Amino acid sequence: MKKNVVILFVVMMVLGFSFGVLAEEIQEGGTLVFGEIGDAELINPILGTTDSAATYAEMVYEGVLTLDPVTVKPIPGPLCEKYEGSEDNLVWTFYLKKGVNFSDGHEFTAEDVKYTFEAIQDPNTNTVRGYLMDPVEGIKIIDDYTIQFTLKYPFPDFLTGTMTMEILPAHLYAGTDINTNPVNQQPVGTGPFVLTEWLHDDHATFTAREDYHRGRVHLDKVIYKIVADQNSLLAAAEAGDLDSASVPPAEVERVSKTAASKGLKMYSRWDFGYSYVGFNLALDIFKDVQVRKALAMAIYKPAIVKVAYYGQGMPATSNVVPGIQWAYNENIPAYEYNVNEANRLLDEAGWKDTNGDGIRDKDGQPLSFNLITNKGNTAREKTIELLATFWKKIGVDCQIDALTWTTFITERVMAKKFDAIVLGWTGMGPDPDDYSLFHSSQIEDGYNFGTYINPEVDELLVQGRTTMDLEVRQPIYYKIQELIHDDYPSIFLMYSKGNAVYNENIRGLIPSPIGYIHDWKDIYFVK
Amino acid sequence: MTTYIFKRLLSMIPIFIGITIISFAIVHLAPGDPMTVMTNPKLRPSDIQRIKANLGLDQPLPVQYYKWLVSLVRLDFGNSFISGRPVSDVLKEKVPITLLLCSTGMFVALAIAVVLGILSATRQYSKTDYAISVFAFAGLSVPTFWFALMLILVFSVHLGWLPATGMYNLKAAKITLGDRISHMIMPVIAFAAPSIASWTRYMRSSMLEVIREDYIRTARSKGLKESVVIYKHALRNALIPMVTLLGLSLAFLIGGAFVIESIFGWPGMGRTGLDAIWQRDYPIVMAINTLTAVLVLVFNLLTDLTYGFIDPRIKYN
Amino acid sequence: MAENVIVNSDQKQGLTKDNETMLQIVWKRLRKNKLAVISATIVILLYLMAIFAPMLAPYATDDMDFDNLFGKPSAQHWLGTDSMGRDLLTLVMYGSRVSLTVGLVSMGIAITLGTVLGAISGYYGGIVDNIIMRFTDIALCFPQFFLILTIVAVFGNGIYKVIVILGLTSWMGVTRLVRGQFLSLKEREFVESARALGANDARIIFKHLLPNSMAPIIVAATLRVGTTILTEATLSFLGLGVKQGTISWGGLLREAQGITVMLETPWVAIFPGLMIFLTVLSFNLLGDGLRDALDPKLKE
Repeated sequence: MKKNVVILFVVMMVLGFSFGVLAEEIQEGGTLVFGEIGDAELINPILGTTDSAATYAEMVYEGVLTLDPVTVKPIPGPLCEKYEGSEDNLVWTFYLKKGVNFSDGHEFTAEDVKYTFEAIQDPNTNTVRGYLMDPVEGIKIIDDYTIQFTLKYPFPDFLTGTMTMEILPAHLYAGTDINTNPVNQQPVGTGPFVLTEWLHDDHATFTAREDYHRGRVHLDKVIYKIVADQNSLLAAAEAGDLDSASVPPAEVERVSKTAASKGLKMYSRWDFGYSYVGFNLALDIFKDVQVRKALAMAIYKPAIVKVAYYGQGMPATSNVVPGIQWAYNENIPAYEYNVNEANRLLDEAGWKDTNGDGIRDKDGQPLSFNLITNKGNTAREKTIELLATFWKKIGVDCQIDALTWTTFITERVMAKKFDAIVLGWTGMGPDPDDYSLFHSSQIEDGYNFGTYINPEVDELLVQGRTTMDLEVRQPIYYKIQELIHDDYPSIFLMYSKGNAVYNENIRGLIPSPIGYIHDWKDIYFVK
Repeated sequence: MTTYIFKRLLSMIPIFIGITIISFAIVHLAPGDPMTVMTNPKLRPSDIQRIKANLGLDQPLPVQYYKWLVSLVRLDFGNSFISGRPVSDVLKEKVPITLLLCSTGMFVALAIAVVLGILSATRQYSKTDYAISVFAFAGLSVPTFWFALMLILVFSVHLGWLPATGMYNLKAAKITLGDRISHMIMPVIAFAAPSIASWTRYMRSSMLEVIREDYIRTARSKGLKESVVIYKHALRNALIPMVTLLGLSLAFLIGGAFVIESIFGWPGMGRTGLDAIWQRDYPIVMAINTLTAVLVLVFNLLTDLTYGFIDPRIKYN
Repeated sequence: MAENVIVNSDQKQGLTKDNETMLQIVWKRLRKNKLAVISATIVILLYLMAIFAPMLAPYATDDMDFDNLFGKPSAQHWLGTDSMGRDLLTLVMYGSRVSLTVGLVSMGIAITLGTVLGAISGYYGGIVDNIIMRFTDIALCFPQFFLILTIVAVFGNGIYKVIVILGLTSWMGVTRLVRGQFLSLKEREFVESARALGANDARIIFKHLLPNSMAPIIVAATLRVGTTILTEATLSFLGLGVKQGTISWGGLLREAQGITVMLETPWVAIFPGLMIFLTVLSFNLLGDGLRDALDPKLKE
């Protein structure tokens, strides 16, 4: 009897499985409804600054190169047959695809590529992407379908950053003011979709192109609906109004339990982001590495991950995110949580509580500083409260405040008017180049806010960004991570993890550090 | 009458100038600048300085104000810093949405408040009166944002009766009236709640005052039916002070609409305004402050005129 | 409005003694209104709680129990714990300090400013009146909440800034009220006779006009506290109120924005909201009770 049940069970499993496979039939057509928090103001890959602007641009525009979703290395994109570099990595030739049309019927040629990259360099363009063209010396059109870039020095991010830029239609932009060109509102690209309806701050509808050069995609339409905030986004997805939503850390545990009953499937991915504490190294109290080390040792990182990020993260160890597998140095020791050792280090550094007020002091100066972050990011707001509590235990007085993003960035961080900050970086990939964060030349015009200076790190950073061979670059980046770890210019708190739910009938999603949807040709509904 | 309107319009000019000065001053006297685009460590701060110059933010303040005011008179609010779109285009999309919420909300609030106010006043010191008073005070004391969240929690998340966000269902092939209405119920209730509460109180006392008047006593003594006395004679006179109240409430109501729009994801002026505040998109913030203030100004003029129209005792001179 | 009281004081002339009787009458009337008495008691208790929070609170505000995040209400934590494992009762007690301070002080600023402007406007009239009233009109045209948001976002937040901004943006109603009172009072006999006796402007304003305008000002002030507390809570809820690390009811409610919190750990969302509601309700009912008690038309 028992055996029969087992056999029956197995048969049912096999049957179910095969039916399951049969059921996985591609459904041609269908409309995907996604949500976006905050609308894009324009659709132009050069000018756009918001997440939604990037999302929309990817619907209509395509790049010469694209990134492999798994390895995150550059590969030829929809507009490129193949590409090659010279021996010295200074001359790069791209062979473009023939017979590609923009959605207005105009043919795509090397002219469009040339225009796009020259527009980035143009000082009248209101773009923040000028850095992409720093290493480029010249662009030469060989013929309509071949274009050559000459670099001043080998630059790894040229392939992953510069050449993945989406290409604009030169015939509509050349000779106009790119900042106010109406095409920014009604984009004309080579991509699989055209924008058919856009009510700002309400929704944007993208319809599949019948004449798409790689063949029509399975879907009919993709609609981005603008929602007020993270909660309305998730609530709408849970109510079935949207086919997807990102899931904030606080909701992950509940949603993972209930997603299936609501026709949703949950996906997780490590993104290219981390959060950290940055010190203003120009301040006297932070000049001593002993103090910085003590502060690092007093932080119980698992509590930050648990409380501020609801467990959706991993204590960070270095300035390179683990998502860049070849460059991440796994042997960097985690900052050990040890309050006694932290106390000892401070004692040794001469910080003692001589007046009995619970706060250490030295030469009459209390060990006291301000810690600020940006408002509206509840995880960071909680992080600074936790840090203040941790540091209070080792006799450090930490005054916290959260400021609006603009005030925080322009008046405090960029102006270097801060003691310590909690900040995070997103998009730290796919190249591990941290030149703008830790090189001493980046104190004036860059993001080395804490004025970190280490000549050895400087040299390695330059070496790393002017070498293309990964085998050579790997030890360079390993060493950089070790040096930065030992100097404690920043305390790396947590690598962040992203979670999202999608309609369970959607196929073709690949969770990767760069997102879930990588090629619209792969995305379809099952019946 | 015409002279009165003309005089009123003339007196609105200095108020208008004052409004523009305040709108301009608040955003421009602030420290800092509107460049908030830095999310990627590979961007150069010098690029940001260059963009700032391109936007004309490096000119002296009086020059910026003068330029803004001159174009304002031509109904040109300038271009958004973030999108480069003309602000007047942006407003053309947003204003009708906010007005839809405000007018529906005001209408609903007024209708409910009048009914409750009459009930309360005609049954003074009864259990009904007591219950309505308690309801009114509760409505006045509940934080609106909290009330809105509670509505979403109960009717969207728990019961699944009403959509949590947006103005209509984008999944539907055709937008039906029913769909639109179902998307409006919660925002309108949340929007109207404080007004229902306070207007019920006003309606009650206004009604009580009218009922005590001699002509109502006369009407009663003539043996008219109570319902005729209340609805034909008393109601009209009790409604007169409510008109002024509507005019005075508009500024407050539009402020409330901003919060409601944010919570329910309505793409009106409020959402746009809040985003613009965070991003320091000065032209939009200034335009919204100016426009709503002017709207209130005009609305007040209209209520004043209506007041005279429905109350024959008022004469303009 | 306050006609009988005015006539009363006019006849008796002796202000101190007269005020006592007035206070007694008001108190007698107020005592009959049970709701108002309860509300007054609650308001007093709330202030006591705020003042003695450090002594009354069972825990310290930075006592975090990482193993008891979102703890259910229990014997150790009567109201449960919050997302950082802090005792919610403690937080609610400390949070009252912000709401009550902001409510009271902002109201003080708004009432003082409104009374001064209204008094000048109503007493002197003419061009001064015209300027002040036009300025009031301008201020009344702005949607107050959006204006406050703009100012806070632009100039930064913090309890003192919020207090000042809320005070400076809500004086208009009081100005109109006081101006109206002064306009009607200054034509009355007792003012005329005071002037005939050689009293100067200051004396007339402070000894005659202001005391007789107090009734509606007191009512407006009480109701103002409730409105201000609501605005502060909304600001803090949006993250634009008090500073990070300052515990406030509105700030505690930011936690309630999460769906999971609402569904699974509602106490985090309920208690701070309830406190705001209760406090504002008490001020509103008290204000309403005072209105009735101060209204001379409702004779015993």
